[in-house]
Amino acid sequence: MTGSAYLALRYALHHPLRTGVLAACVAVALALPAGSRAILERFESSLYARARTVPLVVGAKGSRFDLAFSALYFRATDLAPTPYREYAELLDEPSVRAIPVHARFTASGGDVPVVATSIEYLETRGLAPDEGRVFARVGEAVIGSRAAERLGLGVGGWVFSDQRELYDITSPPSVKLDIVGVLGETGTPDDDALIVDLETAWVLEGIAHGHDEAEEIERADLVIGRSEEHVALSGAVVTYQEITDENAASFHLHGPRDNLPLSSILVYPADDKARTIVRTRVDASAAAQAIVPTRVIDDLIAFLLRIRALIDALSAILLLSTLTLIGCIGVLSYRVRAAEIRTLGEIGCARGTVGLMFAFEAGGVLAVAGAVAGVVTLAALGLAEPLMRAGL
Amino acid sequence: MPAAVKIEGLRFTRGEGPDRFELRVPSLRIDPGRHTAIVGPSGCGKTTLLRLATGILLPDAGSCEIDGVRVDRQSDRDRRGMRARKVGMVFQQFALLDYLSALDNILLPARIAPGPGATAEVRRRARDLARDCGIAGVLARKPAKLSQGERQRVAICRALVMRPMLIVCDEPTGNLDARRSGEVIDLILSEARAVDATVVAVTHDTGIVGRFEGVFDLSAAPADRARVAVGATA
Repeated sequence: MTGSAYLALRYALHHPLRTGVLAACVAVALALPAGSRAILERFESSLYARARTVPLVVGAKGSRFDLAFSALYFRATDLAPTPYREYAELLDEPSVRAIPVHARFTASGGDVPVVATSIEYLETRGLAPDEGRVFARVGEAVIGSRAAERLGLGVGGWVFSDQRELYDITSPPSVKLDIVGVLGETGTPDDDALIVDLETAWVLEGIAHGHDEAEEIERADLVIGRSEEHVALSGAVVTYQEITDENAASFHLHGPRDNLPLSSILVYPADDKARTIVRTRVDASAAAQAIVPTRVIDDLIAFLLRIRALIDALSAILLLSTLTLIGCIGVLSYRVRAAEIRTLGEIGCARGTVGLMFAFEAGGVLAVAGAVAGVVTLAALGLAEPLMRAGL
Repeated sequence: MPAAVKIEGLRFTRGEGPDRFELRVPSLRIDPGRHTAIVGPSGCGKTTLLRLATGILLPDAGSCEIDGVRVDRQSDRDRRGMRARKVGMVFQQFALLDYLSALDNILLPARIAPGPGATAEVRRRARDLARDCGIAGVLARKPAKLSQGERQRVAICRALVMRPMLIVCDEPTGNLDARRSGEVIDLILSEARAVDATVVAVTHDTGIVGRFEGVFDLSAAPADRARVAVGATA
């Protein structure tokens, strides 16, 4: 170590509080822009990575942000449901693959989104059970790896769906969902979800239900009417809250299938032509819209960039004021240490060596501050994913 | 053999009007290995002469040589380099750096001088000097934790550690009683003798002047004693 570096080190260590405060000030001034920039970039790349997996999303007209985040991140929205008919029409399109999604429900006290979809969703997303199997009937569910770990659930476990209207006794009750598989980790929102068959979601909606066979109901007051073809039952008939192998066959839909609700439809056109046809047809309809998720993310990122520019401007001001403060401290320090500098000169210390000593002191503070800012930035990056999961 | 210190026709002025100070030294020669005291009343220019001789100040006229080299003609960088290599300094207030340990203060000239720095040999020499001066047990302490005498000894060790050919002392006993003054001067002179160093010490302590081989009295000749001092060959 050179003499000037050694003297700078000894001086810094002799004044740990002063050195620490200076380093902390600079570290904050560096960490703020670096950390926010790193987090925003992580957000950006994560959002785009998810958005790029789905070329088109079809759903009800309204906020395209709500539709995109409902389809990609299973966020609850106020958008009207999309009728199953839209999905059926998409299936009729040549060169188009479509996957229905209904993600209006949660389980375990709002902790886990319940995503109702088809087996094709699992195949498309590359989701396969690490343990158990995929759902085979209504009432069965596979759980994402993070959700399973968080809730301590595994194959053979169960979880109740959340009742959407807690104080409305006419709303459908909670339903016990049996865990039949735990999905492998993918690092996507699917890891936090409970994935079920579409009919299970319709049970949660109250559109489908199961109860004792009408012919087996003995209480006369529960049978309102009976004909050759139909039996009309009273609302007082108790529906099943648990779906088992024994009663699964009794679950049935009420109303035409075309009107059953979906929250969104993931659409995979084979080519640009198919994509254009779908977009044109859907956008022409009165109730539905087709969005390109990456374009929605473009708009969101543009907004985030404006926030980042604001943070950068504030950071520049903070950095400038910190550097001014350090400059003032440096000048004062030089004056306070005038006797020391004179002594060094008298015993033969070159001016350059004195200058180097101050430079090493400043450099040391900057290096420590940079290291602290780096650690803070890395820590912020580590928090980015959990923050994103919590925020989306 | 060139003189350790040689001054010819030196004139130095500072300030204007009633505050004007002028120092004149027609001739001064100190041979290598000689121990010389510079005496005179307060304000006569003893310290200024020392600073001129070592190139810390530059004269208005005349010449200053150290070991045959015209200091007054050297660049600031060369003068500093010369002091670091050839001159050891003991200051009245010791001028120790408060953030360095006693050992690091002793090693300071080695750290700041051009060259290999505080080598193992220099460190061994510093410890030997500290042992000779009776401060081997306090080398890890910083100046604030040292007694006055210990600080003085650290300053002496610092002046000697690079084996300079010239040791310059500015009132080295200024803060000490007569007994301690004698001990400190004896320590400086004996350590200087061990390395064949020339010693030039500014003092107004008449009790220690007798320990030097020569005395240069700045109050000897001037007409206006307060403002002008005239020296003679020592």
